[in-house]
Amino acid sequence: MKITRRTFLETAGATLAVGTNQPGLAEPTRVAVIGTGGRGSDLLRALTTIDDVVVTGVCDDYPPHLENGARYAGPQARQFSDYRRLLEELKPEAVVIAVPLYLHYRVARECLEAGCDVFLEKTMCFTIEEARQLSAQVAAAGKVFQVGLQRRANPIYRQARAMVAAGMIGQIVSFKAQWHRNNSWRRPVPVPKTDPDWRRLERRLNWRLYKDYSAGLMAELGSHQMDVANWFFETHPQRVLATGGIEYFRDGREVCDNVSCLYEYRLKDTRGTPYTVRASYTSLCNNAYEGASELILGTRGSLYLTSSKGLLFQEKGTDVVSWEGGANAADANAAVVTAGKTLKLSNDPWAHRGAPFEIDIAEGNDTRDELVSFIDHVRRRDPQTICDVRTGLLDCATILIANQSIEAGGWVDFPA
Amino acid sequence: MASLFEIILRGHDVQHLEAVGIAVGEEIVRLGEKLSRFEPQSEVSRVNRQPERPVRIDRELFSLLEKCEEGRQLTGGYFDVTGGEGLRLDRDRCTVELLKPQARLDPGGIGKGYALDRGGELIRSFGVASALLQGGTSSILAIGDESWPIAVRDPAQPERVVATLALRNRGFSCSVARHAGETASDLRNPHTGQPIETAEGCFVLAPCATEAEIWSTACLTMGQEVARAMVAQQELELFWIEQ
Repeated sequence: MKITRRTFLETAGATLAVGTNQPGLAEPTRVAVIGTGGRGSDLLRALTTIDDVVVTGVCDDYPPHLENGARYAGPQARQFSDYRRLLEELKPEAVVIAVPLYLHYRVARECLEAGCDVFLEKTMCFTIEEARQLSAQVAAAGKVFQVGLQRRANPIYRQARAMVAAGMIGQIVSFKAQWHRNNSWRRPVPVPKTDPDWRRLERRLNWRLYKDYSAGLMAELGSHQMDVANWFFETHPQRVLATGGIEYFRDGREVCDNVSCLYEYRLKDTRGTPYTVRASYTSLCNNAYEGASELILGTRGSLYLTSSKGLLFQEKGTDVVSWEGGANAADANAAVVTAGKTLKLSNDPWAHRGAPFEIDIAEGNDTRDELVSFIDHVRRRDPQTICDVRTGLLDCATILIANQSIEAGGWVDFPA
Repeated sequence: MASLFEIILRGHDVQHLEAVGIAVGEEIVRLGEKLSRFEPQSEVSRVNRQPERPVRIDRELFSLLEKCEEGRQLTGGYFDVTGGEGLRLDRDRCTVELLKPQARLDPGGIGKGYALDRGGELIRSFGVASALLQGGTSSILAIGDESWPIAVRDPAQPERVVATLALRNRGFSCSVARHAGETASDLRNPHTGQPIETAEGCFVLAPCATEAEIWSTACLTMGQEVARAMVAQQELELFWIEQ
């Protein structure tokens, strides 16, 4: 059974505003990309597939990354190792920023000061104070600003959020998310360890592993997933209790190789009475079971979400959705009771819910779609982007208080 | 590409080799997602949804399609990423246009080889001098001066080894008309649109894995006699697996 995007979104009114401009009719938007490492290259390649965009420049202070960027951008793009020179000489209309986290605020602020619209990779800033200041500057500058939390552009998540808002899973009970992988999270260094430059290059390329530049797993992975909670719950958490450490990859890194967090959100039930929802989050580097997904649990059903799959499991005895056959379709593994005798008992904990409804996989790629949406907002001068600076600020604080809890121990309140 | 890939790296610094292995694996997965014609989120699917109009694509996909076009011309049309339906590339605008409403890109006959070659570039750039990569047990890339022993199995009787070779600094690709138990081939002759009738297989050794894959697909489709004549003009080695 598939829930089609078309039929659902017509009623839910959650369509993504994209592509309102006719390609080829207008002057192309001049965009520069600052930071052309792994993520920057993903964004750059996607940018070059969008009609009426011209990449006028690319910038990276690491020559091999700049070389890649130049190859993906094409011959019309000028190359810079210093973003300040790029801003001065090219005066781009918009910039896409994908630099290491500790540089986010500085680069984004100077791009705004240079009059650019800004797309900034997640997590928005390295500190909550920086995020607050950037928020104020975006408001004052009146520029189009978007944070790269691409689940906000993903049709599966957009539909799931509309389903939650429409009450299809009942009252929200709990939230559980994880990003589990099994590798060292280390980038290779192009020179041997005996080379005098190895140490510098290692820190440059593996900036995610060092606290001077990175906020670790929570910022690089957790920020996407806790944003789903903030987005679906339409609020930020009240407090968090988190713990983490370096237990396996004792290779000189400074950020945790595993983290576990418990967040408390304050929601309201249908009568307006406040209640607490606990949300748990873990990220591991040495076991990939369950991979990356979010689970939103409600009194009437559960939503299982990944970037390419969305499943709705209904609770037994509920009839939330009246699609033909859906609620009655007995799962082959479910417990069947006849005349008081159990004939078959499944060990699948989900079996009693019956077969899930699957959100029809919508066409499109969320990295490309978030940029299509950004460029569309730039062209329409619309500051209400799908992931604005306030969303970025709340996400940033949600993530960083977990790191504070890991450092200090004990509950940490969401900052006022 | 829905295939298992293996990466064997030789060296002394295990931490470094692991990091290189992860980078290569991620690159192969990225390309697999991009080039899949089954994943609705892929770039190839985005092109396939819009036949008969120029679709803007990135330079990476554009240069791969240029390679395909070059391969089509070199093989007399027997390698064709559109199955004979035709496409138009516009270099200035970086667009591809599928020329017929039913035309679809299917990079299945080149994707694994291309991913291996991209992996090979990364491996060399990180100073690993000796490596063997394989995808789906049909495409192989050997890097460095070391020889890697490769056994080729009979597609009809997988327990029978038909050839053993020492692969050194070469790309390898094996194509078979049908696997054991299959009654018809999913390979089609782009000139006629018909499935090929032979039950044979062939493998090609070439300077890179992309080229090997283009030629093994094309050779099997054109048949042994034509293939041998065409390959004689290239820097390739062709082996035929007869039934």
